[in-house]
Amino acid sequence: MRFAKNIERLILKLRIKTEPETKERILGDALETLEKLKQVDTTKARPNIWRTIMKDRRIELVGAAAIVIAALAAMRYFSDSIDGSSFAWARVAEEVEQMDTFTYRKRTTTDGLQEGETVLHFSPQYGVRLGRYSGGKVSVREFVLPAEKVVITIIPQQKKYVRMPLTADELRQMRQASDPRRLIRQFMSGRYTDLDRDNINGVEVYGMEVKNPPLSDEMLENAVGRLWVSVETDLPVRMELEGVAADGSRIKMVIDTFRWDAELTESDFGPTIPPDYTVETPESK
Amino acid sequence: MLEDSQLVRKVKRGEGDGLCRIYEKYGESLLMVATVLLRDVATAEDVLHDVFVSFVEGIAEFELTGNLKSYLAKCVANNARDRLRAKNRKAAGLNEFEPACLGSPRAEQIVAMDEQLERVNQALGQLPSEQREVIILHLHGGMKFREISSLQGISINTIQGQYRYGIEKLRSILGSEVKK
Repeated sequence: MRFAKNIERLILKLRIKTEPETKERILGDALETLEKLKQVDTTKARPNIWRTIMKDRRIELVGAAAIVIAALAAMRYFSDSIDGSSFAWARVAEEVEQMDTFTYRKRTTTDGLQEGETVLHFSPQYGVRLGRYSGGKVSVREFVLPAEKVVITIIPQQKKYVRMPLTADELRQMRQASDPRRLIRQFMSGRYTDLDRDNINGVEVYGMEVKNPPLSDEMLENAVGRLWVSVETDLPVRMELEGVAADGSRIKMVIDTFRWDAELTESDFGPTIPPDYTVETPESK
Repeated sequence: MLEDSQLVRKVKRGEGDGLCRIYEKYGESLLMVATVLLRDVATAEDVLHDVFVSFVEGIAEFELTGNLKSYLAKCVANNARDRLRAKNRKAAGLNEFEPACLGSPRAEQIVAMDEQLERVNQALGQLPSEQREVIILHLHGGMKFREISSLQGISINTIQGQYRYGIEKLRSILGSEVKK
């Protein structure tokens, strides 16, 4: 077995010697063909993004999302000057909607003090897994499981867990609340300004800032949202939302360390409950 | 690193750098696949040229349902076989499966490497061509045995056997020389 692995590794190292102009020779005509096809495509009335939306059954576009993408796409085609910025954001909108699974981290500060962080895993098939951390330790683990229509909340410090059934509506709301793409759509439907290119943890990004984005959940005054997107992948790298809450405290939320299209399996969403934990029924709370 | 699905979407949008990235990711392996099948690097480069042009021409309808590398490797293998059949029709009597060392007659085409890799290269050339093909299609082409079986019209058991016997033969040729 070891020989087989070693020999396979060596065979993979074999290479054919090529001249510097080999790539040009192989790709030259293909790139030229691609350029010609692109020119043909831009003469068509409907933007490509519409074909993607109509064709791809995986994309769930409801209400605001469809309007956002339509507005951004329309700006690209109907404004007097070609607005590369709105086209770029339309592409971001298209890219994130394609992402079925993802993970991210969310940190919230209130008046400058960090309240802890949450790491979230999202899968349309398996549900939502959420871990809240305080002082570096996990304080709560939560599992929203669509197949069973339950949410299981585990509190390690108390060695307790709660299992609560969910209605279809509650399930939908919990999934929506965990989906940062909703916030992205809200940002993009506001009046935004482009930010200078930057570098976040070695990733070159471009960004937008939107004042008073049309938020549905967060009740914040003087809210400012920022979104940074990778130049290479057109996928979000970091999001910020800050503003003043109803009680006057200054809230800032940062969402980052995204892993888009993450490979998540059913076992990632299986709650592991130690045998010495006690179940707390919702009525007994 | 961009996922293949994103690279395909870039090409669909007409972005040339998406196509270049696909070539940078898989070009060397695809060239190896073509060269093993055709025993000639110049013709192998022609095959890659044709495969990439066809890929672009069909990009609007293309849907990535599996592994991009193995899809392109299949295209390369099909194109190479078509060329070999056309060549053999012209020169009847040639044995398509004439055993040939990967490293000859154009040994200079193999990248200068260490002694161990040179021995592996020579040993590969001593394998029957069907075993060598399966090994290269599987390792460099990233193709599963099921895909190779479908490509060659041979049962998957036979393909797996060819791979196994090929590796065993390499073991007997190289003995304990192969180190990690």
